[in-house]
Amino acid sequence: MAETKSVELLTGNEAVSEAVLRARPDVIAVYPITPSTHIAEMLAQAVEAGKIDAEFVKVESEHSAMATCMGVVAAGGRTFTATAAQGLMYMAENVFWAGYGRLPMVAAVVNRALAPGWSIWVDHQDTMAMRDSGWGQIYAKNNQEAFDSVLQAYKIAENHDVYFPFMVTLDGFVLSHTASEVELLTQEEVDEFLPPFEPMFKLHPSNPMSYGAISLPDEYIALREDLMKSMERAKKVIQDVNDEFAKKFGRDWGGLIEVTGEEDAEVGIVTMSTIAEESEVAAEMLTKEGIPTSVTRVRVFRPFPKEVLVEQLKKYDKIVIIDRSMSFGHAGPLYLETSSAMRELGAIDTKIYPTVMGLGGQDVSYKDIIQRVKSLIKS
Amino acid sequence: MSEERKVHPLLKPVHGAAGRTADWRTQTPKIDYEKCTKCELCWLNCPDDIFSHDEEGYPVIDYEYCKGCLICVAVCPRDAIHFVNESEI
Amino acid sequence: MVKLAELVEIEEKQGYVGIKKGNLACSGCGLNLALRHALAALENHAVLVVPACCTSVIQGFGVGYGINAPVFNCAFAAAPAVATGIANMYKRTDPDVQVVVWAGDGGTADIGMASLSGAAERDEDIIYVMYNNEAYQNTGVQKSGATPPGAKTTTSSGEYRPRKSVARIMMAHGVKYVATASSFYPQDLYDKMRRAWKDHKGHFRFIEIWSPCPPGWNVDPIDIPEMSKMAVQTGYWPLFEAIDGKIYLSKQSKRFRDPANRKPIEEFLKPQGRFKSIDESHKQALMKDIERYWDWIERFLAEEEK
Repeated sequence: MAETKSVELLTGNEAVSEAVLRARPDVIAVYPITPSTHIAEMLAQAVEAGKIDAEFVKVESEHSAMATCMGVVAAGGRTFTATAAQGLMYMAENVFWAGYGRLPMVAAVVNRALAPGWSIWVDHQDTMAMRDSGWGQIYAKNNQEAFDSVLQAYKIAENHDVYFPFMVTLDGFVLSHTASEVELLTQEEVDEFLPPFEPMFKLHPSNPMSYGAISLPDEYIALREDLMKSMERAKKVIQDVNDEFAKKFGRDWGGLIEVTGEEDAEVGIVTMSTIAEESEVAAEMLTKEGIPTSVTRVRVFRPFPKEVLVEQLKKYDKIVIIDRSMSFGHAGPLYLETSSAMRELGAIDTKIYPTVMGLGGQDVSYKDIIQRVKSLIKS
Repeated sequence: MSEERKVHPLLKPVHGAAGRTADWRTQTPKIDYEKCTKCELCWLNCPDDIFSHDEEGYPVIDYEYCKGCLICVAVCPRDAIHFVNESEI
Repeated sequence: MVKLAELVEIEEKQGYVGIKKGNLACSGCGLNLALRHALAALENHAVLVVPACCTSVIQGFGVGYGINAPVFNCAFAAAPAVATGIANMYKRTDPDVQVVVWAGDGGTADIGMASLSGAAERDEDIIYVMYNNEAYQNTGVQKSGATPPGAKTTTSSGEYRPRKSVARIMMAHGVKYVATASSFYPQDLYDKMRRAWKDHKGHFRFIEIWSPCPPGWNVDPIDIPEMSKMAVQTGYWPLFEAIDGKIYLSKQSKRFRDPANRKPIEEFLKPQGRFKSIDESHKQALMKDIERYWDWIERFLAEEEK
């Protein structure tokens, strides 16, 4: 464990692992899958070497990894897991269980395309498939944000006004395997920011309860209504935690959304993750070419930040929404959710140009984005 | 949070989680205490924990919850329990 | 063997009985009887993990639940892993807690097999109890891997393949303590739970309980005690403990190691409607399955038993 603050050259997987090692987890269960495997390896090695006081369970599948995490939280502990694509699909049943069952935890998902075609490279199909699961979703645009967001996610998830699990996502290979500068926090700094987990309930013989037995419709609806209200409350908690973190440590990721570039831009690029960071360069160049452009990055996809997002998007004449996944039979989820929110909240003057880029790991450079934006807004 | 929240599906242990299960019966066991030797086999084999004991240690059937399976009738070595084809006695 | 008077003391006076009367178990349910005594052996130290199975439903719904232990109700295939999570956490904060999986044959032999195998291989500190009512009874009697040859279910009028024996699979995993028990041999079950808990702490332990099911087997509860005796006396359901891979036959099964002493299988089949249409090939397959079980027992029988 680093005793002093340091800036290191870390891959996204390393950054996530370093955050977890400082979050004081009790029991970790991670099953390896490309491109998240390094996280499993680093955490297992750290536990074996005694770097942290935790258990690492070498589970035999992702379904079991999430199940183990659920058990840990029900016993009052803090936990963590990581996965990607097919692994996320395999644990999906339990992902929904943890969400609807209101078991706060943090999972890192290294975004990877879903098979077939059998691809190990990035797109957002996997985590978008989990958007109904009752989890919060934070899409990191770089390794520093991945590190910071894992720590923020614990604080948000464990807040009793929220109390549902969060996934922090990072683009496969582009972030997970690419090293960049990451400033680490010390254990003392993290301890000051992240208090111990105080569970709302614990399964223990001293107070026998049955958790998750049959729920008749009235009870089921009451459970869902609390989740819906908690999702709403989470928006403020996410913003507050972001702002607190910014004040303490000097890094502000925007909270729910992050706007970068020209004030009073005519064109807005609305997107997520590394495409958003790449879009910052594209926006600069488009502005220089006479098309004032800025980027509105959706950092948190769940809960969907419709109020602050639409407030921002109203300012644009035109927006290009770039999805990195597709809801087959209709359109990209970011576009679907954004456009419906705009309609609902009265932003009907802004023209919307949806597009999908980067499926199956196809490289998306600022040049590609510039070209796409130009061709769309011309039409 | 001041209002009553339903965050988790949690229940506490209760008797009669399925209601008054006596209502399930079509047959009812009855102990003949003249024949009973307090061997405890009826108590032991009751799937629903229906038997308690009186001050003298004789088995007592809880007729509010007995489901009428008649396993006690089958295991009694003294034929001290018989049954009637009625829901109540 | 625990004395009856002791058991009365433990369950009634000390209040360790495992169930609350008036739960949703069927009239005459073998699993309810097993739960009643098995949990008593753990004296309020247990945290149960229950996957989708009859036990999920017998708890009741809405008002409260009918089991005297905390329960984590989980997805069908998830129990051994959920139990792993709870056990690893309490290892740190409260080692007196004993995690117990309480699952049916469906969630263990079939859909839960991968998770079971993982937890057994890792030697997690869990007592895994599989109550075997020989089909997916909760959803209405569909065939499971543990269904015996010739038994009628809603998805099969009678198969010829042998039963999947999870007890033997657990022995092959090197599980330290593996035992078979029977709902209507309650003192033997209590003892085995007790030994599993006290003598092999810190390890994965597996107990398979033969659990008669009146609606699923089409058997009148009043016939169940005698039928349970026949299960043992025909050699169909051997009672034993396997400790570090060595089998010790339980008292009630010792006589029936010798096939000459076994009662005719018809005595066992007679009261069960699920075997009504059994034909000669089914019966052969059933006898072969029993022989197969006893071959295994012979192979791993402890020296002192031979």
